[in-house]
Amino acid sequence: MVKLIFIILAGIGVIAALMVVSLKNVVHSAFCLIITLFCVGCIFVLLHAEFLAATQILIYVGAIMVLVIFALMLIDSRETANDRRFHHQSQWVIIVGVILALEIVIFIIPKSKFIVNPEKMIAQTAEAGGNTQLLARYLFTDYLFAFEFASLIILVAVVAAVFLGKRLSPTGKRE
Amino acid sequence: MQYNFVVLLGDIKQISAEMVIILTIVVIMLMDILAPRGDKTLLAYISLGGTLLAALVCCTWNGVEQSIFSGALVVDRFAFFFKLMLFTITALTQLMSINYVKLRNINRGEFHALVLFATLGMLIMVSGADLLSIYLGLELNAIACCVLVAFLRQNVKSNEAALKYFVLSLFSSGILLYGISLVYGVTGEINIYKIARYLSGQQNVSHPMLHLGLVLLVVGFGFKVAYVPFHMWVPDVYEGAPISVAAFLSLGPKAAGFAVLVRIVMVAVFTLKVEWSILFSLLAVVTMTLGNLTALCQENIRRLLAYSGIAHVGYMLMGLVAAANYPQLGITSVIFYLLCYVFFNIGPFGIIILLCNKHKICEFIGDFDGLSVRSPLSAFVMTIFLLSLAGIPPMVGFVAKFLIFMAAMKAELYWLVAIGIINSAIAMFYYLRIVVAMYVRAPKPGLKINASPSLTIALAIMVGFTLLMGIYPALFIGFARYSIATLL
Repeated sequence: MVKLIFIILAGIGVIAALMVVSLKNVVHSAFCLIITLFCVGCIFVLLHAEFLAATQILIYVGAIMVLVIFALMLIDSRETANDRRFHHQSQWVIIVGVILALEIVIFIIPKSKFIVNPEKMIAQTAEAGGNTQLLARYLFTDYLFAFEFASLIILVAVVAAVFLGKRLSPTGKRE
Repeated sequence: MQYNFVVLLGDIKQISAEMVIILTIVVIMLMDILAPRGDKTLLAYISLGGTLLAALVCCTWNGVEQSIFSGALVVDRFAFFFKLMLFTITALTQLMSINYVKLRNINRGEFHALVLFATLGMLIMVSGADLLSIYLGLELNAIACCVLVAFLRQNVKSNEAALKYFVLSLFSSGILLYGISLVYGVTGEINIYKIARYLSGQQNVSHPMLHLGLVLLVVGFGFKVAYVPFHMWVPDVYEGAPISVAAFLSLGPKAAGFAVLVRIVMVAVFTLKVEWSILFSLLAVVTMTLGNLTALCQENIRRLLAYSGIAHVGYMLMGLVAAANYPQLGITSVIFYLLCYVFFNIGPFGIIILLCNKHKICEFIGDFDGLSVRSPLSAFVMTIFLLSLAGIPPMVGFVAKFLIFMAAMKAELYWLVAIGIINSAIAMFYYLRIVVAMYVRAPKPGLKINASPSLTIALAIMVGFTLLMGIYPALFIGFARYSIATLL
């Protein structure tokens, strides 16, 4: 049952992701991206990662996609609609990509076994007082460095955005 | 282990060099805001001072090797070696930038802060002991470098280069993350040392999913290190970026990427050495050959240096292949190559900065015509760098190449050595082409050198080390050997 739901969700997610890159209208692409992110959130629920699922929906679908759509409102989407969408070599890319993907599905996946065992992990998580609590504890102990270091990445992103977004001085015309 | 405040303080003490960099960034950004109209040259000196102070602090490391932050980072000799190298690269970049940013009208606080941000990311990459912190360091570096490339905002080429760099680094991050997740799925660990321990306990490590994960990791880091076929961004970025940033990019991310690659293949998946040595030998062949052949027909020196840099990565990969059978010899040759590469590869970029003025950048080979008449000294210095890049005996480039070829010979990779030697001969042609232009052709009018004290100091350091390491390489080879003793 869980497997079936997973396949449905993953299938919708992948198809929506393909549509994000292949649709001509950027607004439609943005909406497909919402579907993809939502499916990923649902998969997190299947994996008993409720906290991650909630953040996925709140942050990606809620906050980031709203920003993306705001940004799209500032550009004229009709302008891009008539452009040639793909590079002339894209058919070769598709052929090679499909072959590689089939290779992974046929040769690699059947022979592989992930040692990360979800059932055992779910049991351990429940024992430790639930997902959210465990996440909080790890974030401030084992993964403290990564957690703090991520703030530096956000800082550099802010500096970058402010610098690149600032209007050029009147003398600094484009060459 | 119980994680408490005392342990945390001890861990922070171990990364005090990085803390110095962070504090310098904060000081620079605050001073930038507090003095909005003033001259920003002071900030350049502060950032240089911060780098030197961090290097000093790094040198006070007492030799104790330990993993810190619950295994997120590791403090060891290998990381120490690369940290010193990164501080050198950063300091040279900053010295070369001081005058150049004024010339191109990009003397802003953000520039100096972003160089330090990029350095910080690389420092974390080289000391990262788990794939998560390596990824975070890589991402910090990529964002900072991307903005540095875009710094000439009025320039179309700079914008184009930045966009290419941005898209490709996002793409490579995605591939890298996929690889990390597959490795995690198979081994259940993200810590490099724990992955090694898990794999050495397994009977049959030849796991197809692990191979796929490893290939994806190699691809992901390939964009940083720039081997073929992940090199497409390099020439455009070197051409479009501010010159000192191009110099920084030609060394920094490459060195950090190599450090991470060495740590992953030599520690985490050393048990798969048969598989990855085949992979790297193929990559080495195409990287050397394509880099050199494409460099032959370049007229723009920055593009030429980009392709020659790609070819040099090919030689280094050869050392990595040799390391599968002779770890000590192979890795020593690779990191010694990287160390001396710092000096003679940043050098030519310094000469290009020396020749550029407000209106014109002399970046074509034709612009170097008759430089020996206009400025004998700078032509001589450029010749030293080029001869070293070509690998001609008294220079250090020869020693470095010799070590790599020797390691490959010992590992009985004769075909790889043969291809490497043919490639070195091809490379000789395009380096000597510039030398011929400088010494044989008639000088062009209007070629003027624009020396500043800081740039002169940087060039003097680079020439000095190129010669010193060429004459007395044993000292530096010894340092390289010392630094990998506990890694393998």
